[in-house]
Amino acid sequence: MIFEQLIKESPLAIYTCDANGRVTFFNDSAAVLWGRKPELLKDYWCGSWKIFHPDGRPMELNSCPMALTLKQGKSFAGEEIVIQRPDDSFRSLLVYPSPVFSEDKVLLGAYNTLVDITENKSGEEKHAILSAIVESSDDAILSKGLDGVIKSWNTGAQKIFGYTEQEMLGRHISTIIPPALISEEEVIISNIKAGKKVDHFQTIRMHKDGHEIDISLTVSPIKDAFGNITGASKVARDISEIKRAERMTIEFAKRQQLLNSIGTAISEKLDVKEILQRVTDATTEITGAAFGAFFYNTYDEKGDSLMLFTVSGAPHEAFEQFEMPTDTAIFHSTFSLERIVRLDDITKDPNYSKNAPYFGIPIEQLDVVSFLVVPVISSSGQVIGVLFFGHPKAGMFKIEHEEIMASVASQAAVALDNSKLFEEVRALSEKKDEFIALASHELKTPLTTLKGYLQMLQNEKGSKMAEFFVQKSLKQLDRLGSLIGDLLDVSKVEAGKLQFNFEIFDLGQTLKDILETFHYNTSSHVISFSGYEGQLLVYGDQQRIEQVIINLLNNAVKYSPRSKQVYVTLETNQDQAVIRVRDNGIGLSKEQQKSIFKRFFRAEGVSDIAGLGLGLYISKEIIDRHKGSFTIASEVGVGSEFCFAIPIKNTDV
Amino acid sequence: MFPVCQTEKNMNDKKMVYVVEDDGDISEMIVLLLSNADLEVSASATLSDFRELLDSQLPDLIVMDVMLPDGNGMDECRELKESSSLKHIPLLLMSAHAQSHLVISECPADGFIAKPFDIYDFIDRVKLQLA
Repeated sequence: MIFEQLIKESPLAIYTCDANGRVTFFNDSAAVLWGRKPELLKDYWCGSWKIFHPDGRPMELNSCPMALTLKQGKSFAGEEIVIQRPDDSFRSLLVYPSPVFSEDKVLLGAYNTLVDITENKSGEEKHAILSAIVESSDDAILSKGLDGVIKSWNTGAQKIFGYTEQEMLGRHISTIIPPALISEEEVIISNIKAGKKVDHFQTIRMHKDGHEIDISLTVSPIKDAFGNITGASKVARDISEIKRAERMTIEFAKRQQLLNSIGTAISEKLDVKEILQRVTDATTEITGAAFGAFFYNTYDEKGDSLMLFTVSGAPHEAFEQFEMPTDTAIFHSTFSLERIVRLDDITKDPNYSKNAPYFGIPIEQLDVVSFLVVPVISSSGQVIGVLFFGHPKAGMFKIEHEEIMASVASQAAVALDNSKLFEEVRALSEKKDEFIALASHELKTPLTTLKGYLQMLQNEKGSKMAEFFVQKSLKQLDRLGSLIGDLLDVSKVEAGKLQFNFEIFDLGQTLKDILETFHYNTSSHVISFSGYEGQLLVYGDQQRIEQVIINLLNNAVKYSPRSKQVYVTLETNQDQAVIRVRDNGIGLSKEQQKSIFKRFFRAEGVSDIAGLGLGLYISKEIIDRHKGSFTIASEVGVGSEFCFAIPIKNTDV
Repeated sequence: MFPVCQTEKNMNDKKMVYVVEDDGDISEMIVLLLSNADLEVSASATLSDFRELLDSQLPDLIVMDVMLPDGNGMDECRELKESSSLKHIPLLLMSAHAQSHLVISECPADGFIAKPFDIYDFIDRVKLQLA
């Protein structure tokens, strides 16, 4: 009775089968484990719903351990199987089937004990997975006690730090901490002791071979079953590549900035010396050189070779010998360079001599150890300049600097080529301006005599016809004079040398005077005036404003051959004086209006009307310089209105 | 018709004008113009000739070109205006080159005449200085 109750109520799952394999008994624990109750004497071998091998392969019911026990008469001591229950959950079991024989060795049946190992099984799997993760991780994963002694060391740690597990177990963590950073460990440990995690802490650790590694650290406290902190787990990620990328990004940005500054130097049309200085300053900064210098070989006005140089971070005097043009030996040695020379320690270079300048550089005066020389080669393949960098410490210049400098040197070569071209163009333009100034002077000289005599002739009593001819001649003379004046003005506008004499004058009176003279000189057109009458003070160059008004009146007359009317108005608003000149002439198309203020522009189909196309170009410049505005409204065949506005004199001007 | 240049004793009646102009044609025209205006005129083509004239007699007015073969009229003007014995003589500069306000702002001339000029304007300017 007692045994029977023990079997029935045991927490172990137990069942029995007869010799044919039919289930003859099972206890409550077995029913719970199977998740079902088998039918006695009907279910064979086992009460399980489905059975699998531990690796997941399905297992035939009639080849399960119990079936084998009954068929072969052998017992199993803990065979592992996995069963699936009707609710789809799985359990891992160890089964212990054993046959029962009668005294005369006849098989009576078998009993089986089932041990549920599902919980243990999962724990082991988790551990195996974690171990696999730890071992296969590229990150260094290690653990240490609060005393800093290393307790575990994975393959990742070996890869990153170079030490094997055997080497490191039992050693102190300070083995991999650079001496300068040893105090970091105290901070980390004090955080750990306080139960705090250290997250993504970027620092530097040391490889077995002594080189430094950028790492990102995450350190967490390890607690025992009672919650006491007993040590720390440490995950270290090698971020050297990330750091390198970061540095590259910064380098790249710097380089861009440098190239931009060179670009700016060109676009600002600076002189050569200023381009050299900017390039020198920028490159000295980017190479981290203690000082840099730029030697540039150019030619003076006579075509003689001339050395220009700029210095950054060193006294100019240190290079003064370059200004002696007779020292050709130095000159040639510097400009024979056709590739970049980079030396970590110049004093160890076999070519180095204390007595002679190195590549023409007076290094003994400058305390140079690291040395970088970059030739600047023009588009024509000539070495036109040399960039030189120095540093008192060894190994300061790297291969990256060579690459950047090569690119900068080619930029500089382009800049200098451009600057040279620009200088040439400017010199030519200056010659042109000089010529125009001289020509206009020479042309005005006979004009002066001619006008003087013609005016004197006008005073002589002669025939009406003679007087008429003289008058006509004088008018043409004035036209010639103003054309010469326009040519000179255009050349001055181009050179930015058109000079103004700003003063306060009466625009009302000026306009009145012009119209009177015009009326006297023009017989073909009637000029009618309307608008503001009386004094109107403006701030400007009276002669230049007169020039604009006369230009507009001449144009109105010139381009309205079939009309007799020109209208002039003067208006004022709050702060501007506005003059409009309107004609009923040939007009301008929209396209023509766009180009009307351009130099030498002549409207199409006006080849029969004389002009150089300079008047409006100069007029526009004059009004612009008065901070005024110039507008045009026109329609082909109807007429044109030109209008300009200039500021009225304010009381506070 | 044109009064011949007077070189005799009636200097007291006529004002004396020195013209300094290297272009012979312009010089001739100006001499004629001023003589017609009943003025005594002496013309020189260079500053050195002009200075010789100054040593012998002081004029009532000087009309001087800016660009001269042996110097610049503006520099000469500055020098004359610094001399206590000569600075009272009015001086008009003329040029086909520069603009009047720039010349006046740079040297102490009493006036500026741009070439080519209107003869009536020229005579007016001269008479204004002689009045």
